[in-house]
Amino acid sequence: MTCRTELLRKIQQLNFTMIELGLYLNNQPDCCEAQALFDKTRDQYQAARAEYEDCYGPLTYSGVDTCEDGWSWINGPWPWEGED
Amino acid sequence: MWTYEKRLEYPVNIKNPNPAMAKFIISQVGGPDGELAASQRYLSQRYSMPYDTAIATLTDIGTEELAHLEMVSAIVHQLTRDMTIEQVKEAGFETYFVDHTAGVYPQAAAGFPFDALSFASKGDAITDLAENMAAEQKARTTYDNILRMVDDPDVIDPIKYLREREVVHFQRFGEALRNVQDNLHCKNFYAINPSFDMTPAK
Repeated sequence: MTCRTELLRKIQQLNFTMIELGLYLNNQPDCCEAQALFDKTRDQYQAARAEYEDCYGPLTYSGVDTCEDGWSWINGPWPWEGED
Repeated sequence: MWTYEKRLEYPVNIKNPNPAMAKFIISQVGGPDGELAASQRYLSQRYSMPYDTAIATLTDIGTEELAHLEMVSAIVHQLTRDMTIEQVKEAGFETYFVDHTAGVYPQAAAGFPFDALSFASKGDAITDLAENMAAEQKARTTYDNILRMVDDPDVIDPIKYLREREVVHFQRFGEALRNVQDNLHCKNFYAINPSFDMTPAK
C-alpha cells in the first residue's frame, strides 16, 4: 500500500466513524458519549484531510491551492479507477 | 446543496475483468432495490417529513446512498474495464455491450432500465419510513444473492460492506419511525397523516 493509499484509508475510516455517529445521533441526539466521540473523530478527520490535500491534491474545491498547484482539481486518479 | 468528495466511501480495487459478474451487480446501480433508487427515494421524502430527527436521517442516509451508487458503479466499471470481445461473448454480455459498450448505465439485472416508480414517496411519515425499512431489507437480500454468485475476493469485500450498511440503515430508519410514533396518539398512530394533517412539531 502506498503512503497516499494509507492516508486515504485513514480518512475513510475516520469519516466512516463520523457517518455512523451522525446517523446514531440523529435519532439519539442527547447521547453525550456519542457527541464527545464525534467531536474527537471530527478533529482527527480534519487533520488527516489537511495532510492529504497538502501532499496529494484536493478532495473538494476547498482543498484546491491554485498558487501552489494551479487548477489541480482535474488531476487524476479518479476514485473509481482503483488504487495503486 | 451537495459537494463532491474525490474519494470512495470504501475502497474498490478489482484486478480482473469479469463481465459475467457485472451483468447482475448492475442491478444495485439501476435495479428496483438499487442505490440510485434508494438515494432518490430518501431525498425526495424529506420535503413532507414533519420531524427534524427523521429529516436528518433521510438526508444523511440519502447522501450515503449516493456514495454507495458511486461504489457499485466503480465495481461495474472495474469488472468491465479492459475486457476483450471474447470475454464479452463468453459472459453473454453482448446484450448490454451493444447498447452501452463498457459504459455504466442504470438498469436492472434482467435488462430493464431504471424506473422512477421505485422512488416511493407517499407523503405520509409512517408510510414512508416503513417503506424505507422494507427497502433496506430488499437491498440486503439482493446483496446476499450477489454474494451467493461471486467468487472474486476483490468483489466480495466491497459487496459485504454495502450489505452491512443496509442492516445499519434498517436499524436507523426503525429508530426514526419509533421517534415519529412517540409524537402521535399512543392508542392510534394512524388517526391522522402527520405529514399532512398537523403543523410541524419543531
